[in-house]
Amino acid sequence: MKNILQNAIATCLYEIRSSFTIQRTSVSLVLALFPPTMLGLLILGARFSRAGVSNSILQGFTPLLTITLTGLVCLLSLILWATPNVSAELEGKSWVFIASRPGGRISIFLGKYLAAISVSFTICIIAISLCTFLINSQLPTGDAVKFWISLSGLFFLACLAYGGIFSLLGVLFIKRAMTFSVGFVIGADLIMGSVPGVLMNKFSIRYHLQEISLVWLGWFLPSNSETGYRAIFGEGYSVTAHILIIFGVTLVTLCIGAWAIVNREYITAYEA
Amino acid sequence: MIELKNTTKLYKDVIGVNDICLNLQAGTYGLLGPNGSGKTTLINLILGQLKPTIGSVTLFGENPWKKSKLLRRIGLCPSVEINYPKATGLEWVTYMVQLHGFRFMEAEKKAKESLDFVGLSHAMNRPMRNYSLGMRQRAKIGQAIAHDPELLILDEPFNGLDPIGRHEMSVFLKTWASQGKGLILASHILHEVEAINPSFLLISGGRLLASGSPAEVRNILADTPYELTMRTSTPKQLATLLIEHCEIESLKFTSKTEILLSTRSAPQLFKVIPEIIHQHQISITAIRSTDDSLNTLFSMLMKLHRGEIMQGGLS
Repeated sequence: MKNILQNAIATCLYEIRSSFTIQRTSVSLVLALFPPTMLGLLILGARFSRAGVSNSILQGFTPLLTITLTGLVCLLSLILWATPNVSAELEGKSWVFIASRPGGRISIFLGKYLAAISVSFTICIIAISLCTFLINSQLPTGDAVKFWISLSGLFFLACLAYGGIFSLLGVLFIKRAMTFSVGFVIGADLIMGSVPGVLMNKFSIRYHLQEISLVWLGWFLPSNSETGYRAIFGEGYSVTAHILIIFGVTLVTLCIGAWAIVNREYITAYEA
Repeated sequence: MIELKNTTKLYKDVIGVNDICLNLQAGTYGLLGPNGSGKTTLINLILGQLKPTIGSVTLFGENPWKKSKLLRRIGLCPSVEINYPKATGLEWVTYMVQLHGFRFMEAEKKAKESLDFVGLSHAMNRPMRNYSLGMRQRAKIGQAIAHDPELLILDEPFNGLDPIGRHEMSVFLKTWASQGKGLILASHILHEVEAINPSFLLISGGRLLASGSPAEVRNILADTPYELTMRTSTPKQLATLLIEHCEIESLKFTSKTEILLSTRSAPQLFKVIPEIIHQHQISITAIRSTDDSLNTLFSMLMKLHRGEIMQGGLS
C-alpha cells in the first residue's frame, strides 16, 4: 500500500512536470480565465445597460453564474486530464514501460487521477479567486471570504468525485472515454440530477454538491424559489452525510478503476 | 526460470501464439522469428501482460499474471519508440526506477549509474525529444537495467542503430550475458543475435518451430535450400557448367541474361563459380541471394512443421 501511494505520487509529479508544455499551459490558463472574463463582461454590460439592472438582480445572479461557469471549467479540465489515463499511454507507446513495473498499472491510474484533480482544482481556485474579487461589491461585507472558502471546498469535493468517475471511464472505455464522460455529465448527472423525484436525483453527484452549496453559501437563489426547489428535490440530508456520500462515490470509483486496470488486458500490438 | 505449458493466446479469432511448450533455465536466449511471428506476444505472456487463452505460464515458479511483484526481477526493453515530449533522459529513467518501488533519491542515483553504464550520462539532462534513435535506444536499455534485474528481455534492440551502435550493443549484451544473468533477445535478424552466442528459440506463425544451440541451428541452415540469382551474357552455358560441377536442386531462366538456381550445397557452389569463370572465360556480372538465410530457414521449418518435407535431428 505504501509503495502504491509512493508510486502514485511519483506518477502525479512526473505527469504534471512533463505536461508543462505551451499548449497545455495555455489551455489551463484559458480555462481559469474564462469564468472571470465572462462575469466581468456581464457586470460591465449591466452597469452600462440602458435598461438599468438593479444591484439586487446582480447580487442574486453573479454567485450563481460564478458557480455555473467554474463548474463548467472544472468538468472540462477533469475530462481533459483524467479520461486519457490509459489511452494517452497506449497512444504514446509508454504503456508497456509502465505496465512492466510491479504495481505500475495502479500507479498510473491513481497518479493520473491525482494529477487531474490537482490541476483542475488549481484552475478552479484561480477562477473562484478572480470571480470573488469581481463580485466583491455585490456581496455583503465580510461575505467574500466565506464565499471563497465555501466555493473552494465545494469544488474540491467536485474534483474528487468527478475525477474518480472520469478516471474510471478512461479505464473502461479507452477509445471513447471523453465521449462517455461528456455523456455521463449531460445524460446521467445533469438530467438525472434534475428529474423531479425524491430518490432518483439523489444518485447524481450534482444533487449532493447542490445541497452542500445551499448550506455553505446560504440561499443565494431568488428568495421565492425555495418552496418550488424543495418540491422538486425534496429535503436534503446533513452536510456531513452529503460529504460522506461524495467520498464514498470517489472511493468506490477508484477501487473499481484500480481493479479494472489491473485485471484487464491492454493490447499494444497485434503480433499475428 | 520460465515455463510455458501448451500456451495459446488468441486475439479474438487471430492466433498470437499457438500451443507453445517451453522450459527455460537461466541463460542467454535468442528469440528469433520474422516480423509478426508472435515474439512480442510471447514476451507479453512471460511478463504477465497478457493472460493465456489456453495453457499456463510460470515465471520464477509463479504465475506472472497474478503476481506483478515478479516484474521487480525483470528488466524490459520493448521495441516500441518512446514518445515523451519534454522529459529528460534522467527524469524518465528515474521515474521508471521509482515505479519499481525505489524512493526518489535512490532511484535518481540508480538512474545516473545506469545512464552512465549505457554511455548516455553526457546527455541525460537533455529533453528526450532531442535524442537520436541510438540515444533513445540507450535510454531504453538504461531504464531496463537500472534496478539490477535478474532477467533482461530485449525486443529488437538493434532496430535503428548505426553500425557503431550495433557493435556497442553487441558488446553490452555479451558483457551482460557473461555476468551469468538471464537474457532473452528477440530479433528477426539472425547474425546480430548469433554474435551473442545464445541458445536459439525459433518462432514463426505463433509456433515454436525449433530450439537449440547455435551449432544445431547451423546444421539446420546447412541443409536449407539456398537460392541465388546470377546475371551473365551466356546463361545456357553457365547453367550447363553449374549442373555438371555442382548439386543444383532447381534452375530457372528468369530472363535472357539471368538464371535463378537453388542448391543445398552453397559452399560447393561458391567454390565452383571462380573455377568456371577462370576455366571457361565466362563473364558473370552479378550474383545476388534472393532471400536472407533466416527467411529461408523459417520457410523450411514451416514446411517441416506441416510435414511437407522430412528432416531428422531437429530438437
